[in-house]
Amino acid sequence: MKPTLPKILLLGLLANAAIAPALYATTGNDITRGTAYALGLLGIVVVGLAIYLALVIAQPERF
Amino acid sequence: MNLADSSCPKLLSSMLQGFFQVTLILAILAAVAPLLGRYMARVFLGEETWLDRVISPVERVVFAGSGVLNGRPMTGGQYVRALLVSNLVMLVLVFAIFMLQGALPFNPTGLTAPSWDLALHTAISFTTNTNQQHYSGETTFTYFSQVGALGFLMFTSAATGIAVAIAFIRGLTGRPLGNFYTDLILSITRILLPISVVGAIALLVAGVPETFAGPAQATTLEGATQFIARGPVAHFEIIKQLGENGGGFFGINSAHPFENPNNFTNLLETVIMLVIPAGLILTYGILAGNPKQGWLIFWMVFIIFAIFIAIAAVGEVQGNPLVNQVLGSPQPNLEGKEVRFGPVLTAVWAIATTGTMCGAINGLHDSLMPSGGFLTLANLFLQIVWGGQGTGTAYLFVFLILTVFLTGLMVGRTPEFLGRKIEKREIVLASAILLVHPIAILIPAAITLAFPETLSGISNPGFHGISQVVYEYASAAANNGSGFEGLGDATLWWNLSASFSLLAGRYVPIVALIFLADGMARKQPVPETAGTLRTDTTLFTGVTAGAILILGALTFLPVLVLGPVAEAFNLG
Amino acid sequence: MTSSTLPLNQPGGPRQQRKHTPKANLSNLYQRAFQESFRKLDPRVMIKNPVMFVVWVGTLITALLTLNPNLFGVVEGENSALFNGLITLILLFTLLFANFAEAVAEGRGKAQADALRSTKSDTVARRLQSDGSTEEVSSTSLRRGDRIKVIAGDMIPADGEVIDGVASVDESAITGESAPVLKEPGSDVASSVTGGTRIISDELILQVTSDPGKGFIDRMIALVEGAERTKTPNEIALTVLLAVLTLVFLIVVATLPPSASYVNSPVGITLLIALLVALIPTTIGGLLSAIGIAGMDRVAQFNVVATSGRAVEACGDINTLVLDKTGTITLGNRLAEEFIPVNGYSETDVATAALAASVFDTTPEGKSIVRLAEKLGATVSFDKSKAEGVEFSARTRMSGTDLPDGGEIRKGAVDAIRGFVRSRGGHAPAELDQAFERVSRLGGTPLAVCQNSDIYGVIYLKDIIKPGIKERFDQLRRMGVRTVMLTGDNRITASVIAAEAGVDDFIAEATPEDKIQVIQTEQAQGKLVAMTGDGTNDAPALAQANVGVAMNSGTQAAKEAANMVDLDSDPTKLIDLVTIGKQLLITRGALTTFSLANDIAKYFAIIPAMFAAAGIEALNVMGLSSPRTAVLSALIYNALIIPALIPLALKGIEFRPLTANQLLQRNILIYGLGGIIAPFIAIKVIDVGVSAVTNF
Repeated sequence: MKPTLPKILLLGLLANAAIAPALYATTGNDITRGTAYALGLLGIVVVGLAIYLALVIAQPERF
Repeated sequence: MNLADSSCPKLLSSMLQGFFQVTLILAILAAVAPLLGRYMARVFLGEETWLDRVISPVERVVFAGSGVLNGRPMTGGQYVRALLVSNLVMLVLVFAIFMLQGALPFNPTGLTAPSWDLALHTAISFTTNTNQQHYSGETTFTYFSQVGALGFLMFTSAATGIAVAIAFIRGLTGRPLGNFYTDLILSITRILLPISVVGAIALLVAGVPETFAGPAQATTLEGATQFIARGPVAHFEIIKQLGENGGGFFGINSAHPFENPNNFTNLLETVIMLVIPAGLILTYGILAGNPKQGWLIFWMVFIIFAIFIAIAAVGEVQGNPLVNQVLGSPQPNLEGKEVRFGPVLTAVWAIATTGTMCGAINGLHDSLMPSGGFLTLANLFLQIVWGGQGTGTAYLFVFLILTVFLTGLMVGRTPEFLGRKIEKREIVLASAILLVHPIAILIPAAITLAFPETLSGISNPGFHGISQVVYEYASAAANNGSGFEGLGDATLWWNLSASFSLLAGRYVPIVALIFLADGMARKQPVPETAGTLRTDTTLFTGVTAGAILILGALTFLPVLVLGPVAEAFNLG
Repeated sequence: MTSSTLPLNQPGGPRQQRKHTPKANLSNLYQRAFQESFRKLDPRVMIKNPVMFVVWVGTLITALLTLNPNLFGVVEGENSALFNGLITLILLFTLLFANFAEAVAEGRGKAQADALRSTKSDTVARRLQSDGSTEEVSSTSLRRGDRIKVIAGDMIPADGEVIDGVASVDESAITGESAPVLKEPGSDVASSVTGGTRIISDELILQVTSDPGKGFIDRMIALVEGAERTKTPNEIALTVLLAVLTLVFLIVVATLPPSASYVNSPVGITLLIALLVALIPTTIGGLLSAIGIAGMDRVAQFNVVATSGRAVEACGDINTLVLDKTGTITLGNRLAEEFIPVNGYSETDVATAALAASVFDTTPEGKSIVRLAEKLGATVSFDKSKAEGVEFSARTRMSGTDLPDGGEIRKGAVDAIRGFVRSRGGHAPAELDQAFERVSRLGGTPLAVCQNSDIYGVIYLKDIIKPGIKERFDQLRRMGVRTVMLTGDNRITASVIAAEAGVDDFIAEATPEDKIQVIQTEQAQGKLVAMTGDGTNDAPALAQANVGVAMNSGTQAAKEAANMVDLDSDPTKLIDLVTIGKQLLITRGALTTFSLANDIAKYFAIIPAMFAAAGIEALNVMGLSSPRTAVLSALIYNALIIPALIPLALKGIEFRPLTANQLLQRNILIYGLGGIIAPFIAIKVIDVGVSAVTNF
């Protein structure tokens, strides 16, 4: 399966469904549920960017 | 604070004395490093040395028929495989010894097995030539574990580093990489063992104990009975320093009077930990057929080293402004120091031990002034102010390669280093090395600091706490092993997360270096013309120094700012 | 661009004006580039540029934070929608500026391509039917393999190979050489014609050798338009380095919040993104592709078709240049200067014989012999229509005329004539050697003239070394490029010319096979070799060379073997190509260094602002007025430096023929040290401006 942009986005949102509640649980009452989801998504974006950059390093010809 | 109008002549005299001591150490280093460098070049070029007459007969008996002394040159893949497999075997062996130490001999104090994660961390830490210790040696490991298991790793891990450096240099200069096992054995029998034997005897003479007897019993002035730990220290001490291992026999390492009793042993131990990394730079110059290049790099590192020492020493001598305010007069910072060494020698040692990835300490780095804390951290990040056993020299070349790439473009040619083109493959491999530190230091440190209550075990909150945590991972990733101390680090989290940093910091660069060298060796050399950028010029060396400091500083500046820098401003 | 922007400081002033250098139409360029820079915000385009893609993602997040400042939780003292909005705007402009740089470079390429296309105007072609009749078709409908007929006055509609007929063709549109060239089937150089040239006498039957859109000009068009642009090896290596630095800074910034929170100095996401964008090498990241495209444009402006960017880049690495003497080092046409009689003949006798030998010779040399002979009063004493010309060939190394009475008049290389005379039973007098030596020592080419077994004398063909060529070779030598001259001349002549022109080495009496051998010998030492060639027998050498430049006047085989074709057929252009190749690398290296050096100042602007709560005001060495203006100023600088450097990226950094160390010293001072200092000043100035108009 070739990863396309929609698939990656969907995967990110699905992953966040697992990450955000965990984040919400650990931080207790410091943040709202919405913030937890936003932060979870942000984290996934950062990790995604890191993976993207690693791909560029490994196969620069493709970019 | 101004030293000139200091009302305290003691301060001035201690500065002068310190200056003299530092100069002496640097002078000895500059005198001994070339000798050792030339000697090591002869060893690895397969030329005769005066030690052959003594050692060759012994080698022939010990390694009879194994063929290990004349191993066939290996390809990059074979070399990496040999290195990883042999290291894994040693790791498993030592881990097993730790877990079974209660049942093994030489256990006068009846110690039992440590926790699995501590044993694992310790085994990894010593296999990677780091010797990060999350325990006190004398109360955790038996004599057998210390001498048999750890002492063994102190030689092999240091020799592994030298072998890698030699293979790397050979590759860069277009030679076959050589045979890992042969170089490993040669490093031990021709370099580490001979110097250790002589050094251990010198330490013994100077008062370092060497015994298998249990702790001594003494009656204190108050009449209480005190047990004084001792053991086979002298030979352990010398290889600890020489091999940039740094794992002390005693918990407080070379601050302990049995490890480092006086100024003579301190001088010897300081110089001993610097000679191999410093000498290897010159060995490289000889192997590359360009001694000038070796000398330029040597002096570049030497100057950075001297500047670091000066800054750290001045910081310690000036002392803590908060304390000085209370005292009403400037006093050197003596917290966490052995008075027999004083502020200057402690600072020298701190810079040397973090710069060489030795990690032995003669005073607590936790108690250094922020400038010392900054520099010791910077040393760990850079990993080249002499650098680790072998690997430090190799990192220097990674920086050289990156500098060559940028400057080479700037003179309008595909960059070349030692007559070989720097292309995508080289940049990818060099980059992998550049990425190891951010990944192995910043990520675990961030996780630890995100959960300060549950994970960190920090003793000093605030900016200093950040320094403590970052230092621990930096020390692990740089395979240094010294601790900022003050951390409650014998926990499952610390043991495992530091193990990750240890392994990543050791093997990712080694594998990348070997493949880098292997690729370079296969390249068609390009002849030198007027259009070729010469790397053996003062200009290029200066640019390299700038690139090293900028690349290092840029990466870690935010962390340094939140740690020692903020601490300094908040003290001042 | 005109030839006055020549990068090498040529002592003789700018290169001769090319009559036809296509003028690119640059109107609308900026307007189109402006539109294009918005179109390039498409993530599918942005993802091709790792550094700018990270900025793109950052912009998206700050845009969200503008809409909802508390999206990621409340951080005290921050989160003003206005501030976030400003940051978003600056980041957006950073992206647009980078896209604009690329678009301008591409736009110039397109304009260049359009100009080239216009030189190839659509003409009517006569296509030959299978029954021998012709039909008139548009030149664009011609296909490879079609046969066409061109008659005097026609524009040749496509690249082709002459299969029948003899005609003279005016190639000045492409070569700048006004003398018409004789085209006929079968011979090396003379059988290939290029679209866009004009036939001025007789008629030719041609076989079309390229489909429409596949000709050389079309290849160049495709390349400068960026359609076939692939990254060059150095560009790839640099991309890796930039991606690594970006990843390192991503990790540095992403791991910062826990530490900051730990010391009760939490930072907002906007500030973190600002720090990230300031640290990653956006300057070079934004300009990298523009530099590459502009490099290709420069090559195109020199009227050279490169088949790949790789070849252009390789030009900068050249260690050895293999050059033909004729047309490169000396002016193409040797002229007859003097007739030196031997064997007791008079000058007029030699002139008459030389004239007789040259009447069928259409080469410039032949014509100059005729001119000189006629000036000396020689006349043709036989019936030209009954005589027969003998072509020069590389094997015989002589040419001449077979007279109606059976006499054989020949002129050619001295030893070739000596052999000819001997085969006819004669022998060469000792004076011949003296004359030969005299001419050779003057750097001229001696041609012996004989009739049957009798040698009449020697023609002194004078070679004129191109003015300024010695200085160019000096420059090349300082750049570390060795020059090797190949010539068919004898050793003495060759050494005289070599010394006069200042080449490093020469190969006399060279055969085409020698060329390939020289190249292989040099390459065996790890050197990169460039050469020029035009004949079919140059093809293997052109293919063997790392950079092979075929002359457009050359044969199809030579052009296909080469990785560049020079439309002007000017062999000295290799020197300019070397410069362009080097410029390309220097520009990339210098801007990368500049970009990295800038980070120091940006750190000093942003870090104190970020951790203002940590009590590190003393780090604010620039005395920026407030944390927010500091961040804004650093980012504004970061954005503005991209358009500020666009002209430099497009023009390329000037290359001076200095040694590598001098170059490094110069560039490290300007771009390294300058890169450290300049932003401190610029950010301070911007900060003064920003704090004057805002109340942050």
